[in-house]
Amino acid sequence: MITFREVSKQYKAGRQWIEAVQPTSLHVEKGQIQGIIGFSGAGKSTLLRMANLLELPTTGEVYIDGQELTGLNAGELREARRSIGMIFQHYNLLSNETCAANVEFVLKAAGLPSRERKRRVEECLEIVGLADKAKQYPAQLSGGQKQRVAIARALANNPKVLLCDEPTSALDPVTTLSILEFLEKINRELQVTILLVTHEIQVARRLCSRIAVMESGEITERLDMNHPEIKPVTQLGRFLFDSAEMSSSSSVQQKGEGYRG
Amino acid sequence: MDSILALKAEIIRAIEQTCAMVSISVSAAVIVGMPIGILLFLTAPGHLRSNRLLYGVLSYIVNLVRSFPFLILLVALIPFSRMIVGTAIGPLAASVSLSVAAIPFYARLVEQSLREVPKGVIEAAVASGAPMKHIIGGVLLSEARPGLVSGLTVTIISFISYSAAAGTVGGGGIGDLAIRYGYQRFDTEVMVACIVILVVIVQLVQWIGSFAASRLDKRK
Ligand SMILES: Nc1ncnc2c1ncn2[C@@H]1O[C@H](COP(=O)(O)OP(=O)(O)OP(=O)(O)O)[C@@H](O)[C@H]1O
Ligand SMILES: [Mg+2]
Repeated sequence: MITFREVSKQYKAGRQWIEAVQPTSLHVEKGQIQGIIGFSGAGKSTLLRMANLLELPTTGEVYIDGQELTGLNAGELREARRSIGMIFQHYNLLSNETCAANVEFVLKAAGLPSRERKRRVEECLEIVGLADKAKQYPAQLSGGQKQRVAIARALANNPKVLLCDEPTSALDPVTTLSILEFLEKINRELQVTILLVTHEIQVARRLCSRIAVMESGEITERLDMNHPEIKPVTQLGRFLFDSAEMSSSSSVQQKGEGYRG
Repeated sequence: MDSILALKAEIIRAIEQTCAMVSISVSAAVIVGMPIGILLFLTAPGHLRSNRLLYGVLSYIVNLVRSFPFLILLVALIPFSRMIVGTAIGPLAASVSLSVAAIPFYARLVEQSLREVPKGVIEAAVASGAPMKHIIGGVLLSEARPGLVSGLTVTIISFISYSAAAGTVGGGGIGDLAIRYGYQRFDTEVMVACIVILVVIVQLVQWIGSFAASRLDKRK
């Protein structure tokens, strides 16, 4: 569903070029939740933002659902972006518009007629459990509620793919959990493929079926979370599994019982 | 008091002239200056339609017009005013010069307000595949609403005072009346009356402007 083929990104910083992402390939199957973890500055956001060409790759190609985004003209790219939802760490909602108007904006931009827009806005706010906040402004909501409005907006055009850049990094643990539950539900019920960037190991572990570890612009490890017998080699990869055993009490218990039995 | 009453008709006419000059120039600022401000914002380096040449040229013209002392601009534009409205004196002619000054004035204020819109919000709209006209209308102008209104308030007030200067070279208006009677004929009463009228108008404009800006601001 999402394919990066040898994409790289260089930025010019003064006289120097920095390689934010070195030539990297990554393929995400339909229906998967793929995580990208790594320390600050590893190039996670840059890679994610190349998935909808918010960042133009210096080299390489990006495919979404078989379509090469890097080969499209401006109009075609706009069209393609409608089936790629995106949410951000700081929500990026229109602060002078109500929640309903925030969702409606992307429908209007896609050319949907007024009556259908109204219906779809209601549906989307319903999905994230905020139908009662339709007439409120973002400033009147909590962080978690704002992120849910952002999710509703991202879902409005029935995307095949949802890109998430640190969606819970500004939220407390309990709110984080509720956002993750919504993302899980969207993945399960709407078959939306999710690509998620985070530096929170707990978040990646909770949500992702596959995780790529990024370090200084490179994917240094690819982990399939359904195969816990695999021994990670990177420090972050090991941490992913180690702390899974330490901090998640239910899995510790299960494993303990397993050992006894 | 007598002199004011005697001049009642003339004072009312002067108020009308001032209102006409300010309305025309501020309308020009909104109709022409706002699009120029949007263009300045969009074409600036690192922005949505970044275009070094266009930005450079626009920015240079805006700076050029704004660096003219207003009275000099007024005189320099006399032939232009005559060409446009057929005369070089009166409120209509003054409105031409005032408009020329008001357009770049408001354009810069518009550009500045648009810069206050968080980059991420614009990016979210780009990521959703929104076409440029929706990004301009639905994101930029909508998010910058309070700033655009405050900028408009500043423009109106500045051009009430500019119109007084324009009045002295045959534009008419309250400022002109104040100078003719107060400064040239030492009729202090009329001058004070004119100043009071200007103060009241400016206060009123500022009050309405601030009120509107705060009502439009939902950021809290
Ligand atoms: N627009 C830019 N101009 C110049 N350098 C950039 C730009 N964007 C990112 N970089 C650089 O590219 C590298 C990777 O940045 P990126 O934002 O992808 O990291 P990240 O893994 O998302 O980090 P974080 O966890 O802090 O968000 C960093 O060294 C950063 O300084
Ligand atoms: Mg990042």
